[in-house]
Amino acid sequence: MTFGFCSDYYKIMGDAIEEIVNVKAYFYSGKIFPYLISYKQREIPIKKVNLFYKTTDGAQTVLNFSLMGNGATYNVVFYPLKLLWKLIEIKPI
Amino acid sequence: MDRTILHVDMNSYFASCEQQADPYLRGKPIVVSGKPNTRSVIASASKEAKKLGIKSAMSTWEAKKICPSLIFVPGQPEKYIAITKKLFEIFQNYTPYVEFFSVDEAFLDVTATKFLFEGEIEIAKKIKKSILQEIGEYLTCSVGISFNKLLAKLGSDLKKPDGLFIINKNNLCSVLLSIKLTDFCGIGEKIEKKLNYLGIFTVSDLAKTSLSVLKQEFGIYGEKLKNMANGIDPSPIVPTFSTPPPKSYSHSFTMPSDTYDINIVKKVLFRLSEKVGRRMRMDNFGGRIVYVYLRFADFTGFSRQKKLSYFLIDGKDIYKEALSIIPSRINKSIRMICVGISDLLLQNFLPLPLFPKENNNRKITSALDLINDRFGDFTIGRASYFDLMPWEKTTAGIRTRLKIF
Repeated sequence: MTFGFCSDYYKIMGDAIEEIVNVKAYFYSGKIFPYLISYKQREIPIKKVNLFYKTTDGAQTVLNFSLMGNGATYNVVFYPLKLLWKLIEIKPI
Repeated sequence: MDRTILHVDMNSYFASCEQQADPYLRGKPIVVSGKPNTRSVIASASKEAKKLGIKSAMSTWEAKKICPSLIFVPGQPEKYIAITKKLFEIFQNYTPYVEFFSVDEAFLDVTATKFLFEGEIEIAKKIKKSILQEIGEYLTCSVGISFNKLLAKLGSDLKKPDGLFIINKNNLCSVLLSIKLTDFCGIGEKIEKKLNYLGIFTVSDLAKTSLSVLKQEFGIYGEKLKNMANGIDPSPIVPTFSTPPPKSYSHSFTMPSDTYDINIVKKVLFRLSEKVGRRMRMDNFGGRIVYVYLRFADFTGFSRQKKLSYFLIDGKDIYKEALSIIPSRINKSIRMICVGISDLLLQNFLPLPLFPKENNNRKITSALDLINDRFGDFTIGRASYFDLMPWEKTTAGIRTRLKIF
């Protein structure tokens, strides 16, 4: 995920990690529920989904999750056409 | 039979969405705005920031002066639109008559459906609960319930945040006597000043003033003011499925710094014209009145419009016409530029082009639209406008933007 511009907010947060990761999720009733992130040979169980929303990247729909797990918060972006996930760790201010 | 109208107003909407997405922002004064050191204003302030005296529409430098530790978060419109769509789905569970007043507030006519859900208060409680469960615990809303739109909106404004306020015929008089004139939706500072000039300072003063006096001062709006003071509003709910077609399309842009440079003005004009054209074509319209508004640094304005004998659908044609009506020499520095088109007609009813070249142009435009739809705005454009095209790619990936945007 990229941000529109570097505001004070993101400066405070520091550099975000942007990596391709594996996310395990349940799919049912047309919805998607991620429950586990595999990242750098670590498995992070997802404790809570703060927010889920859809955006578009060109003509492609992208799913965005803000997740909490393992004492940290992450932004996860899912590209359904490529079956690709991107992870950004949000650092506390 | 009296109607039952609910007005649902999300509290600090954009800021709450950001706090919902990022738990580290919760409990802190944040604002959603443009860049902090530019001319941008605050789109939304969190509840914590509001307590410090920061309000929406305040300039960013002013807000930073009040609270130096304020956190500025850039707005992500797609996020808010996606959440608004979710809100719409929730509201649709209770009535099909949902009118979105803005991105974060809606009117619901539950006159016919309230009996299915144990009354209007129960509906309001269920909506609040659904928002918490389906969208997030940090998003709250205020609900006003009354028998018309004016009073329902007033009710939701009176109890914030996370409130529920009912205005019925029993408490109507006491509510109207306790509020200020500017509490009504439709009375701003300018109208209040005019009313004060007439010796009207309270709602009861307004209710006592004769209609002829108000009509003389405010024209047809005088009647609306008189009705407001008496708690009367016959305007119906306009549900999304019967929204009237648009009358015009326009885009405006406030320059990061005032400019005399005609080349910058041309670039902005081109960009705005392309955006107007794209939006118009998306809705399958063509238009033939092009208008331009320039606001100068001293806050004076220049506006011109041009009625054409033919309809325009292409952004480059709108740009050509817009350019022809702005003055060739600019004596004052420009602060804001607005381009618009009106007198719209559905493209199906537009006369077919007589010459093959014109027909080819339409085909090219629709092909360009398809590519730009897929890969983002301004991915492709005409080579003749190369100098004006914003080729620079931003961090937002495929979306290209002009340097000054």
